[in-house]
Amino acid sequence: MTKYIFRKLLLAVPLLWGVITLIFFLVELTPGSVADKFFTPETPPEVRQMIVAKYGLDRPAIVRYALMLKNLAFFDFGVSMAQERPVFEIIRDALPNTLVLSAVTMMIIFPTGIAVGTLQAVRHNKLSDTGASIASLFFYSMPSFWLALMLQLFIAFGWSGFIEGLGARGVLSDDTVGLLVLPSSGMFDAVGQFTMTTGEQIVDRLKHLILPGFAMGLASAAGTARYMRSSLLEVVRQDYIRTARAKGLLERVVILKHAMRNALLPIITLFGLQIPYLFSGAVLVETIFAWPGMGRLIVNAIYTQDTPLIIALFFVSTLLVVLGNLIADVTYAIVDPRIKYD
Amino acid sequence: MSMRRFFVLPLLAMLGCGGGERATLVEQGVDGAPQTRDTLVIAYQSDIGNLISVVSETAADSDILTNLSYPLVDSAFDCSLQKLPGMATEWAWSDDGKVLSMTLRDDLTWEDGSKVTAEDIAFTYDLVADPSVASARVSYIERLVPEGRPKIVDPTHIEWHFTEAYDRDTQMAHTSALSLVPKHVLAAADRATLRGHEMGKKPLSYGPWRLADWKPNSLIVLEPNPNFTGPASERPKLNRVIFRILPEYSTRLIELESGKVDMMQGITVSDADKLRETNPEIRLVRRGWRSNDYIAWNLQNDIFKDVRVRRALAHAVDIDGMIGKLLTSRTGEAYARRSIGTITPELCGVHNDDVKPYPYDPEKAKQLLAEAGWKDTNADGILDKDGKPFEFTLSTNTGNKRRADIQVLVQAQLERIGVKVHLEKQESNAFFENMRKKRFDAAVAGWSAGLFIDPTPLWHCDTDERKYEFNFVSYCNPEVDALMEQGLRTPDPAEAAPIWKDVQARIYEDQPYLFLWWQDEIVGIHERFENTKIDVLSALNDLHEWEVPADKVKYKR
Amino acid sequence: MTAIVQTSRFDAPPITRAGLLLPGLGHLLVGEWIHGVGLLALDVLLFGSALAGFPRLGSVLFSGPSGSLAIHPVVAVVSWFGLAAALWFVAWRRANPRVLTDEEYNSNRQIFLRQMNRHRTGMIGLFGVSFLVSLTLLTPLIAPYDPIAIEVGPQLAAPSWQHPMGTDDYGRDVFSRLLYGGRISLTIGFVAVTITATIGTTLGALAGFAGGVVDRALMWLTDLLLALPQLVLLLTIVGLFRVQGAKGIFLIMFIIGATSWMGVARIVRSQVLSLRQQDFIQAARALGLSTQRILFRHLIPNAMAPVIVFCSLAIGSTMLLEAGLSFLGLGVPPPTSTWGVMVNDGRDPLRHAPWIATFPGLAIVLAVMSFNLLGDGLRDALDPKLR
Repeated sequence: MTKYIFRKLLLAVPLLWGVITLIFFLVELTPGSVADKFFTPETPPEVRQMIVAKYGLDRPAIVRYALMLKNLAFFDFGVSMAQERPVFEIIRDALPNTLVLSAVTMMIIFPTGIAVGTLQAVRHNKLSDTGASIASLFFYSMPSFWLALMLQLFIAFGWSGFIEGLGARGVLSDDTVGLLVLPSSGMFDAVGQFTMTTGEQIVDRLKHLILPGFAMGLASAAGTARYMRSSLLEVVRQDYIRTARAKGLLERVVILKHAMRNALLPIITLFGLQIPYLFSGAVLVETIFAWPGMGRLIVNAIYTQDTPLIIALFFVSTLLVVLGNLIADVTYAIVDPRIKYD
Repeated sequence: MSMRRFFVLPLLAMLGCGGGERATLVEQGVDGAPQTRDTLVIAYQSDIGNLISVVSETAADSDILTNLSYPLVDSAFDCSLQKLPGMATEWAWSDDGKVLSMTLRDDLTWEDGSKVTAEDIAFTYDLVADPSVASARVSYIERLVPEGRPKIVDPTHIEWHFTEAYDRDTQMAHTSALSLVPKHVLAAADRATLRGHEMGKKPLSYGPWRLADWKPNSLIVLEPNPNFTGPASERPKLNRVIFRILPEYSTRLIELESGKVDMMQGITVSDADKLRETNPEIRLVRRGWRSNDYIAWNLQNDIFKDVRVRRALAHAVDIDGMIGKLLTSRTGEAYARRSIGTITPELCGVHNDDVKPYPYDPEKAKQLLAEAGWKDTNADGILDKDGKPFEFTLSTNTGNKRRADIQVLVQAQLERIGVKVHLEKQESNAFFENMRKKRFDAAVAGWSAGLFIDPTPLWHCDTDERKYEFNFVSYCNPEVDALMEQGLRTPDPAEAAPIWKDVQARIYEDQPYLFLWWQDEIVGIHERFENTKIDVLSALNDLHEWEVPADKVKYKR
Repeated sequence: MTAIVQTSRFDAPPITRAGLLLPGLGHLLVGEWIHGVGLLALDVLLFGSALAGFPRLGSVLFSGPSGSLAIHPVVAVVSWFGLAAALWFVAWRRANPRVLTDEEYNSNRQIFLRQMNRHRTGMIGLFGVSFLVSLTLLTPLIAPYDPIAIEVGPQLAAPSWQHPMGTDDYGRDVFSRLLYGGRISLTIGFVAVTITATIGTTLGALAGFAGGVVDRALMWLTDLLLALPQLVLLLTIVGLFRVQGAKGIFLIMFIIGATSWMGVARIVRSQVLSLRQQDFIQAARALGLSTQRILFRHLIPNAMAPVIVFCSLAIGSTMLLEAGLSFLGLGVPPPTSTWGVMVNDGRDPLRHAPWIATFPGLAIVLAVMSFNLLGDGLRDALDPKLR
């Protein structure tokens, strides 16, 4: 097993190298002088000298390439001129936020998708199946940023108005109102953080995760449901399921215990494949919900042409993708006994 | 700090678990009794960059720094900048106008207990002057003698020595606009890497507020400075001010409307109309004629070299109509007025009210263009001259709705007189870079007006000694130069006023810009806040005086 | 030996002949709901555009809006006739079906057509896509206003009879902008996918056929590009190379195309790998046909089926990508506007003029849904297991 992981990790290295080379070429090809890319007009001359020495900006491309590789290997991403902070710090501040959001999104996507897909397969071709298919397709075809905007509008005015109306009329207590009203932006309650207990703060943060999580995850959940449905349908046609049924087992047991396990296998691959999309989806959703994560960072870095930050973000996101795929491969290998790992 | 701590703390903070600092925040605010002071939540557009005043650059930095410091000379505005005592209790000019002496109070202290002294002032300006710091404020020390910035006579008396007698408002502004930096902390710092110093994120306050928290890209929290030793009347009356960083305009508006933030700047006119109906509890305040929009003609471009052409274009655009369309509310209230120059009408003594802006007259425009030799000889609907058609590219920066609107409207109107306009939008940094490098045909841009008078950066000819960076259009009129220089060397503002009026009239005649309008910024603030001072100077003036009556407090703890 | 599988022309039942009057009617009357409704919808489009457009034919033909990628209004008129001809042809065919021989009936083509026809959601998708494409081609006839003309209506007016989708803050008609924007969105989708298909097929076939080092190298390259988050990569490229005007559209089409080919390559490669061993390829080799010929005349055509499925799904995802890029302001540069740009424009006035962002968003959803349904239908029709 460890050899398998090791081998996969080893294979990841040329991948990373390829990505770094690609981004180097991109930056090389961009129009603009070196000064534009790495400095702002206000950068002091001493700082310029230091950066020039560090990245070899006055040397030929090969040298610069080598220096970049060396720096990246030590996770030395340099300093962002636009934000005047070390890039490592900037990423360190933003990465956990995106990871939390992505984790929650995954937690929304997979259980929902699997549950809906299973229900659809069980009620194959009935009305609920068709209805769910159409709904799935609807959400699957939706641009996540549009969904985010619509949700934001709806939650801020439709839902909150409704809940507060109920509260005003005494139908719901103040506490319930506070609990049910969902925030429409940000990561946590800016005012309440000073007076909330730790428990309340955790609940608050979870509440703030709901909208962005849904906006990011709904489309993927729909996609997962589709996959789950077709995968389960295929498994159910197999002989061993017929045997199980013939043995007189309850349908529920047949599906949940026997069919699901095999049907879930391709979904696990899906798990790994989702990770790059999470990153892309985060870009749009984080912008709308003012979520201080990597996605927003990338957009800002590109707007301000902050080259060190762009390179670093590329590197980190690819690293995450490679890790994600690795996790998917390993999980798959563990779960599917047919796969030999040597 | 070990690597682990790097990650663990943010993770814990993220999950909302108590870190040391967090516990303090909770303790400070509450003593068991219900709070009779409120919290102000502001929807803010951008994040702070660096809080060391000498190297700070963004507007957000200035907003925050103003509250973390005590001004040397305080200002108010009433037709001109009024100077009020601050850290300097009194001041006087020498007869030759070259020396400004100030008497300082000695009771101000930094957050860590050390006194704020004249040494700090001298140190601050020393940093500005040091080329390895590369401060953006280097123009402040332009006319200061190196030993006189300032000269410390004794701990409570300083003298500013100038190289020449110059406009006094400008001189005073340059010597009192900068927040001080603590010498005892930064004296030992490496100047070339000053921007990376910790003080940029964790400044020492000597003003009524202190920076309680800053979560990058997320929020900034100010709390009353318990170590503030200034006058008791200037202690803040609010419990806390929270700046929520929300880069998206629509998100800020949604938060304002749903009551999650109390204050928002830069509300568009049509949204203000809506807010009056949906949220009557939000007071809409007009800030005054602080910023103007214009179209800059690149005078190095052959098309724009003839002044008749520029005047024609000014007649061809229905500016009043545009104000009606873009900046007037449904009830007919106009939030903009025609501009005739870059000196704001708020400076009422100096603004030349006699210059009448050109009326909308497309016929006159065509006539002027014909006089300048532009006719449609090939009947393609576009004027031409010597075989070249009258077409150019009008650029502006992305992210500014109003300027995009101006582009579209101007394009349509100019097409009616036979001028072909191509539109282009560039990302903000790239756009300003191109303006500075004079790489444009025509551009829609704007200025935020200074509250003291110095039009030279915009209009002065480049000389061998000095390049005027903000003279994007390459305007050069030696008579105007002479007048401007004379005005700046006239210390008495009353004497200088007629000179400035003359300058404005001449520049308007020359039409280096198509002057559009001064617009009023609309700021929305929840009505429970009293004693707010939202005006031309700042939307957050005298934050320590803002208060909420006890019965209207919203955030009770 | 002929097998008479459907009635000959002289016995065409009168109810399907009703379709000659109005395409779709015949289908409805025999109970083919989806075909019927779909064709009727296209009829409505046809007549509607004639009613709206032909009286203004003069002005439409000679002073339609210009702008990048604006298809000349003459094309609209020509397509109108083309659409009419196609609709009546379908109706006529239904009323007078062909007589097929046994071999013809069992040919792959016929089997495919029958499977497609029977696949309900696939047909919905097909009609959806046809509707969309026809709408796009007929835009100059249908659009009531010039999409870039300002002040054709009051600013920020809510949807009304004069402006079915309201106006934006320049007073431009949202409905007209939606139609013209759709052309660009669809064109970007089609062109990008064509590029994807071309690159992917070539590389995949090469990898599968050549094998060995070439194969390994190409697969490594594929994995590399797959590891990159596509949106981030696109943002970076567009952001770093700031291209203005019409060239920006080509850049978008090209880079979306150039970063999406990996799926196609993998499909083609696996198809080629399995086809390689088959007899007809061995025979071709034995006959001494050149590699090029084998690749292009024999292998690739047989590998195309799953590629076509992939492509129809890819058009949908390309439109979503382009919308996402435009939403961030890094997509198609102004003044061109696509649906994504319209959603972006609608962001600021979202609170009090939600229609500016809602309709383009809905349009994107419906378009992508149609392509997905069509893709599903194609996949099921081409899948040998379901025969």
